[in-house]
Amino acid sequence: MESNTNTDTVLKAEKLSKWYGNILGISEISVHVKPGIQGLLGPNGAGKSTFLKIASGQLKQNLGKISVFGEPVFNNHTLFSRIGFCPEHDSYYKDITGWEFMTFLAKCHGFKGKKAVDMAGASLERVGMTENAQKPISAFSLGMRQRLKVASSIVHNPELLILDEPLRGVDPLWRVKIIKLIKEFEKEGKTVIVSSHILPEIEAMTNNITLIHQGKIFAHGDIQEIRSLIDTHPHQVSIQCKKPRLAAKKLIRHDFVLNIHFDDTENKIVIKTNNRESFFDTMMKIIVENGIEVDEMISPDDNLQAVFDYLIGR
Amino acid sequence: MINGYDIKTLFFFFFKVGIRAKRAKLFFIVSFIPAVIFIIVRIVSLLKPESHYPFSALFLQIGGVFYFQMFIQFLCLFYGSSVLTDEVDNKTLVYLTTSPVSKASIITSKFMAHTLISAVIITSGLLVSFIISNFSNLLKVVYLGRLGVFLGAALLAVLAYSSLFTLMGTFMKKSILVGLFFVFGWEAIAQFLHGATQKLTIIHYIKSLLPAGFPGTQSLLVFRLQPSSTTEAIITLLFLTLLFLTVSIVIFYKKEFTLSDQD
Repeated sequence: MESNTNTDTVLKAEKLSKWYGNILGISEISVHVKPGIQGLLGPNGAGKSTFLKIASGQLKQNLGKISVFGEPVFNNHTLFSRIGFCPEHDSYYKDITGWEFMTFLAKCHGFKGKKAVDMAGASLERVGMTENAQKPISAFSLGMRQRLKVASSIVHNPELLILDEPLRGVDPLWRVKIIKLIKEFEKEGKTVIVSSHILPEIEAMTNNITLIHQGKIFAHGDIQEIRSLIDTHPHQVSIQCKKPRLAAKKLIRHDFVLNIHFDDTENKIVIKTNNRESFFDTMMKIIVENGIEVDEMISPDDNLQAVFDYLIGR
Repeated sequence: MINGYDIKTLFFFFFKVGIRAKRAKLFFIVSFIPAVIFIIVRIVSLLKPESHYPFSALFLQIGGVFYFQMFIQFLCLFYGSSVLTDEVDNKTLVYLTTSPVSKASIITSKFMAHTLISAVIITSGLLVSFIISNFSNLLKVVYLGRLGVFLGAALLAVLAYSSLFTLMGTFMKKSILVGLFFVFGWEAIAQFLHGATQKLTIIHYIKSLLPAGFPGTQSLLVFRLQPSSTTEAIITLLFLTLLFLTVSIVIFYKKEFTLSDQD
């Protein structure tokens, strides 16, 4: 997203605010989206979906302005021949097949007869759903329904693709393929806005991200800068193993280990580190070289909310 | 605002989805309850030839009351209010509102599809019930004419009630509850009041279209009825349908629907 205005701006939002009763959705968000992939990253409840719903005309902002391709979005149905939207929630028509759903959507986008069939078939093929298309949607797995949702957003080959958590529930193989699909859209000169609360997902798609937190844009720019901030975030790692004191002895000599807390009752140690990658590399070596049997290794604050709390200094 | 191709696409889709649903099959079975009762009465009358059942009157007393005082309202309440509430509750509205089809087309076509489903269910049960109960008089012109009146009145009732409940569904969260209160509360009482009050119900205009009774019979349907003229009743029902549908469309354009918790 850019702060300056250019002629190739696809989506332009100016001081966009939305609240639900007394609850703030987003506050004074100003963004300019240009062709390419724009990642929208934030923890659950940050305001990502609210922004995307306003951008896709489902909600109307309380304050501010938003335009897509230079036109207002709310109640402007003709604009949606150029926009594709993949919603966050797992919603579907129960008593129809995937094929019927896709041909219906193709027809809604104005395609007729064989063209509608071809468009539906092509989008199903792109998400690997051709074989299962004749099954009722209610018989699909969560991952298949998610892929169908992605197919529904690209059935008309839109210029702007808005994807709200498109990888939720998708298996690892198709996660990679959908990321590839999103990148193909970028290569075709199109615009993709994609949201997620998982950093590596966004990182795999684009370097251009916007961090959104508590309804406000917290930072935007190159992902490497954000990544370096996150890497210096002091992480806690909890390890439950057979030889906790030996593991602690081997770890404490490294300067990236800030402190170690012992919990002898559960054979557990909690390590605080300021270099996540070095810590895990070293830890793996210690485990292998000393034959330490690890029962559990978790990072309790290894989530976006913790990172945001760290970044905003809480 | 309304595009013919969009209407056709949406109508066939919603008709297909609606007719396949378990709800449609259940309502279809229920619509034959009077027919089953009439068959039982026919069997009993064959076993006891000394008893004389006035079948024409039976149709009005049981069939008429069942269809025109209960079933049509109940059916339209579910199909009318679900025009929009189903899309909101199932969170499928997003697929429609992010397609290049107007909101007017969405409401109109889904209303048409649900009205047709209701009409098919009602007319099937009504027709079979009428045939069974008036089997020996079917070739008489007066009875065939009355069958036409019953079917016509049923279709107008479906239109008027469906549009009213479509409207309720666009702006009320508890439209089913309010609809039940309207039909079985307000209408159940007001239709029997003297003067202009009865004209504030839809059932008044429907009953005004129905025959007062077959020769020598009376019906609960016409109890204390001060009917409006046939023309007035038809025009009023069609006007109400258009009015309710238009207001539904206006509200759909004005209102925003939050399909899930904010994020």
